[in-house]
Amino acid sequence: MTTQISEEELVRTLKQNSQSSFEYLYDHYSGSLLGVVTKIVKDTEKSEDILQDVFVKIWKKIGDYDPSKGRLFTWMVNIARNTAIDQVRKDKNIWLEDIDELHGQVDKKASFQPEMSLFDLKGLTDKLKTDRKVLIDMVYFQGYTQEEAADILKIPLGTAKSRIRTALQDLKTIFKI
Amino acid sequence: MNISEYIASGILEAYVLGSTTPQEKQEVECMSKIYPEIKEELTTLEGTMETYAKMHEVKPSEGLKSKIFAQMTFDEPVENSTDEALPVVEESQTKVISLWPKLAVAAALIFGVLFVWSYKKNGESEAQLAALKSEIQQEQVKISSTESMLALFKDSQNVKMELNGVEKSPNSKVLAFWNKETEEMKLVVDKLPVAPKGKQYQVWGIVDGVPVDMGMVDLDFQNKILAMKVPKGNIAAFAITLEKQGGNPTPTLEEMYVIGNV
Repeated sequence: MTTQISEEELVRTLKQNSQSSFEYLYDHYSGSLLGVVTKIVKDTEKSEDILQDVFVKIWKKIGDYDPSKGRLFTWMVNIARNTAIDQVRKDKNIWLEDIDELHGQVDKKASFQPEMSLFDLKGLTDKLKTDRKVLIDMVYFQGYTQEEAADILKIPLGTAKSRIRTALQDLKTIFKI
Repeated sequence: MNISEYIASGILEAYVLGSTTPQEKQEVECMSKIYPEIKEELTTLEGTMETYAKMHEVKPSEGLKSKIFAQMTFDEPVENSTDEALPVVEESQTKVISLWPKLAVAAALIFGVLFVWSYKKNGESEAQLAALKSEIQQEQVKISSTESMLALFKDSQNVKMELNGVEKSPNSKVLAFWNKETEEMKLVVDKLPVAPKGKQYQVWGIVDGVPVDMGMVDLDFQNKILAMKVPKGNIAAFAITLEKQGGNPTPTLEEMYVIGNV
């Protein structure tokens, strides 16, 4: 790994279309982005194709990125998630069935039979309550809205929202340690 | 507006998870610009999800990087545009005729002075008289508006505020004089782009976190003192957005030009 450079500096040089900065970006973030994409499309080969699109999009659109609105990664992960979700919807026009399929999965988890392979959390986030983790992952990695997620889990929207909030606050504390 | 309540509402979490509606997204971005506490919480949450995603990372296969970079080009820096051939030509042209415009301007000035002078002496031209009258009138209006602006500054009842430009229009600036007694606000536009056809600026007060309409800015706002009614309640900020003529019930946040915190 190369040395860390500040996000500000990175963004500045990315906007100047510096090749080395884009390489730095790839080396540091392609794994995280591919992780998100893979969670959504569940197909490694396809995921890599999508990551190609995503990265080229980031390169083309970096001029639009406005640092005052948030961190670079949040912006990139939105591009990744949207591209992946679009692809999934295009590929199989059975998005609804997909939700049904997940329905079962999630019910199982909600009754505390977590499938740990899905959440390779390296022990750290085990501290996070499973029902909360399920929510975060559904929304963050699978692109469900909070309303949809609450619907699927058959919990009130307010409960879903407060669980998500608690979960993120927990994560915040866990990562600080 | 209660900032801790806003932070506790869960909307920032929804934002970093990408599950907000476009409107909520705008709102969060706007609020985090106004309130450093919100910005700080948002940045922490973004960092949290960044770490969370990092933990779920999937390493791309070896050849992918070169495949991606083959689709990108780096040789042309983005901003390198048109200033090559044009100036040379223009410069030589300007040199040839450079004396004439100066003479023309000088002549125009002399004529202008002569005109005013001659008309003053014998009062011939009615049209010119009218023109001059209206000019004087305009000057008087300017003077009186300057005077009343001065009065605004002097009035100790007024809370003076600056509404400063946001990224949409960083140079914009509007001065506000808030009389809490009478719940009135006078606005003086220092700098604001001319409103395009069919559009008009609208003033908002952020009351308990909700933007409340305070009225429209006159289409011709230069050198004017604009009176607004300040809504009751706990006001966090004042802002001006560009809306359709006659105004909108809720502000279009991406068209926000200036904002000032209380």
